[in-house]
Amino acid sequence: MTGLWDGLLLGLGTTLLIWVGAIVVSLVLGVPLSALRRAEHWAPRLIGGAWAALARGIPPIVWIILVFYGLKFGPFQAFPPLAAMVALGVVNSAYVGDAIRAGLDSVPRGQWEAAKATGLGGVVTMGRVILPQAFPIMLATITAYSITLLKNTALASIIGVSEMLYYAYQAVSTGTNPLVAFLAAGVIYLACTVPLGFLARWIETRSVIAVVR
Amino acid sequence: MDWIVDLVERVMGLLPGLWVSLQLTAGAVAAGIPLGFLAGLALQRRNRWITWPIIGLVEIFRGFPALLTLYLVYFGLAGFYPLDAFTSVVIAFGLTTGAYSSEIFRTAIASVPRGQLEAADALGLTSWQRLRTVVLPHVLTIAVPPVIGIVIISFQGSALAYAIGMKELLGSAFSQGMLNFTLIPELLVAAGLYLAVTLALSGMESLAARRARRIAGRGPVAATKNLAATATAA
Repeated sequence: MTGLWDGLLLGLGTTLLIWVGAIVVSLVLGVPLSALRRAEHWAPRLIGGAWAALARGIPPIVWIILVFYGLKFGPFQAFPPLAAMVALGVVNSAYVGDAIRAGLDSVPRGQWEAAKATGLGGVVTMGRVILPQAFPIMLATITAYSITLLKNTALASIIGVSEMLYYAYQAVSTGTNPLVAFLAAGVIYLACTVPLGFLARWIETRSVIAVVR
Repeated sequence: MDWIVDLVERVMGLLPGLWVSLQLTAGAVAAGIPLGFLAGLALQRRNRWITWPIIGLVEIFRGFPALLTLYLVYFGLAGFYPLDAFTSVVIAFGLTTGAYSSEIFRTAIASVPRGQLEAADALGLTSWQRLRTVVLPHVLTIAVPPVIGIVIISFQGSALAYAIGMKELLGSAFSQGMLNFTLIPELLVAAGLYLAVTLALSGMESLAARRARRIAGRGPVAATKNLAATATAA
């Protein structure tokens, strides 16, 4: 029993590492993606749309396997969690891009027009007028998606990454009752996802723009 | 032109796997949607002894990674009653699908206009008649688009069956790839097939959303939008 919990807690570290890494990747990719999808010209919108369709249309597990086996990239082979971070980050970038786009679109047109009429520049309009209003909504949505992302880190066990589900599986193969091992891992997953759900709802209630809901 | 022949051959080789994936999806949806509807119906009750256990179950199966639920059913229940892989997937993903869709049905049922329920009571309909002739038509109209969203999630989730050794689309891409010593092309073709089915389903989803908006008129439009948001958040 102690072996099981020791393993699960060790695995939790890797689970959280992949999670944070994938969030960083998806933010780095999601910001330009939202810009592409909000562009005036059709060409960047087409590219953005294709990117989102690929990220969302291919199951996360297929992304992980493709990145790990497909890109014969040294660091991925040496450190498989990196492959999981990149793959899950690509998938999540589509959702982050949408969240940023929806957040910006949720700010009433009048706010953009008023900023323009007052003679504010692009950076000031974005930084001082639009983002302060749009940010809580974006953050709430991105937090909600990060719950799905956290659960998807379990898929990394398929390419042999020793995260939490991997340790539960190992414990079962050395004789632990599968119900005990997997339920124990499940309890730890819930201990992470349920508070995140509350956090997302709490941020949402904080947002200034009530119209969106 | 050789590459076209090559591509067609690879696609043909993976079609049986795609068929298994579609069967798994159908099984999970057929098990999960009625569960979700019943949960959504039960959550309308004021009685805590009914709602709290259901909320608990929904939170559990929404919070567990789907792969963990699959292992729990496949390895965990094996001690009581040996299940084959297909049945395990249907049970496991039926539970997750039920948990995800319960929220859709809860909101859809709650969005039935009060006046219609009162009218049904005034006409002296039994609660079963009220469910069948007032609530269900309303729910079936506005819940279709988010339910298609759930079908998409189930279809993508069916790839996890590979982890317990099933020869669905991902599993057959692996075995075909090992056979031909070309893993990556097979995986890319499988990814393309997943993408094609997903895009077809999301096309249906937007058509259904437009239809729901047209039929339901002004009232439930906002409800449909919210439902779509819950479905994608799931």
